[in-house]
Amino acid sequence: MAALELPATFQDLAHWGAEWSLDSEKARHFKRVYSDFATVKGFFDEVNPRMDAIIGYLNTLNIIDPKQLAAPDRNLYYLAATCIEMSHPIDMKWRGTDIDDKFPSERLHFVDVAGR
Amino acid sequence: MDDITQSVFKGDVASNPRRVAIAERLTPDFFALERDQVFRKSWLPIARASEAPEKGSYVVKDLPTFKTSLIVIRGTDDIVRAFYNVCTHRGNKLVRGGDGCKQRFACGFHGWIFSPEGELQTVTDEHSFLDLDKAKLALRAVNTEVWEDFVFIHLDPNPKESLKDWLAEFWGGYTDYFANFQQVTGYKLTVNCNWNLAINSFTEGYHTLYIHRNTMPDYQGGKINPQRHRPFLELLKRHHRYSAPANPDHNVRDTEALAWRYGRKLIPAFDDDLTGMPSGVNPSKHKNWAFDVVQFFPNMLLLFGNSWYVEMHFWPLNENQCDVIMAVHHYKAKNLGEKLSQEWSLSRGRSVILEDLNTLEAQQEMLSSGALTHVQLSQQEMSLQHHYKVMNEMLGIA
Repeated sequence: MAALELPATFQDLAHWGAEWSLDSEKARHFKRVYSDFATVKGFFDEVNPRMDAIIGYLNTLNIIDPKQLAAPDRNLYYLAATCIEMSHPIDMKWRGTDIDDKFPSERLHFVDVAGR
Repeated sequence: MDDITQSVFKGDVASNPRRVAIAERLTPDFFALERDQVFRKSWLPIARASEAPEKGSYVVKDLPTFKTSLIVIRGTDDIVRAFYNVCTHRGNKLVRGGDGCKQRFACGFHGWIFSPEGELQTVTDEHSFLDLDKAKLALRAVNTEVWEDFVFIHLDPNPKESLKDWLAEFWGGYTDYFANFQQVTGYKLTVNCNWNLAINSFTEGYHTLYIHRNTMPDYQGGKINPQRHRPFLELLKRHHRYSAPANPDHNVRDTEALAWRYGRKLIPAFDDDLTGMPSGVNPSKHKNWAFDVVQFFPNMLLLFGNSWYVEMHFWPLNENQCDVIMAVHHYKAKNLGEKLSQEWSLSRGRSVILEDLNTLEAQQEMLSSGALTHVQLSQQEMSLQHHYKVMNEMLGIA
């Protein structure tokens, strides 16, 4: 897996690669539900302790549309967004990476919203 | 018992049906009646005026409920109008879909051109038509009125009420509320269930203790309201609204705490600061207020919070299928930390929505089997009682 281009301070997270820096809500959702719990937890346990530092860094930037950021910053933003998506099964102690009883999310059309 | 939250009901709560003959409502004939007697006789929100922001901006809205398509256009006079999306020459669909901005709407069949106000401007080889009256061949207008950015249409050529009269108490209750927010996500889906079942799933809090136990186990109620009774519920002539009770002892777990360090509280945590909110929000000013659920009869729900709102539309396709369109709106983020904070709430909320949707097709299967003819509704389901009372009134059912 190709390493992710990230700001220098966060290079230690680069090995997660582009597949964990996902630029759409839909991609992040399906990454979670189709991954096994150990993989999700491994990612979360490594990125989550850095979230305060990541947000502190991102809040110094003057751009708030993530798609307009320079590539390293953009990758970092979506890595953080992916970490947030992965937090739910861990914080809520689900048995797997998704809830047991739900409407199939494959039937959901995710609307693209500008600026996300 | 004094500490337990009591429900305050406002409006006519005595005459609502507590037992609803549901199975008989799931037939093609009944749906045809609903479509003609309710949907064709109601003001229906189909778009946002901000979807057509400039003079000449348009957005196409297909309405499968009526097997038709409308085009909403902002005229050069800045008035937003809706028209049947049909060329008045030979019936071609004028604009096939999507949105855009133009000053001339040309039919792709023979090149007839209409203005953004719907006037027929140009007819190709006009002189070959005998007795052509261009004034009578303007786009077919639909009654259109705008309330707080929502574009409502009425398919009856002569509505009995203006939109202001239709919305009644709501008309001035939410002034400028919606301008505080921007959309952060949205979902569209087709559910294989009757539209009544779908909207009913989102207008009571009785289910939340069970359905959402894995996603938002303690967001409402708490020790002072263990059964999560609505602190306030108001039944109007057609619409209704209620407030949901926050749990002051909500357990904020790790990533949720991170979210609130960098952004405003959003569902499942609540901030009951009503500064700047119009009078319609938290109408009883309940102190442990979470959010309001407001049904704009017949088919739109708005969930009002102080830093967010959710918009839901339920459009029947037939007696056993409906389209559900949802849009989640949050406060306008000022930095990337706030956007990530919002991501936490919207992604947890997505799971909640998927749980809410999960009973619908199972209900449809069993109710349409005839295994159960009636459903029994509690005080906690007063909104559903009211929904069927208003439906029955419009359908002429005693």
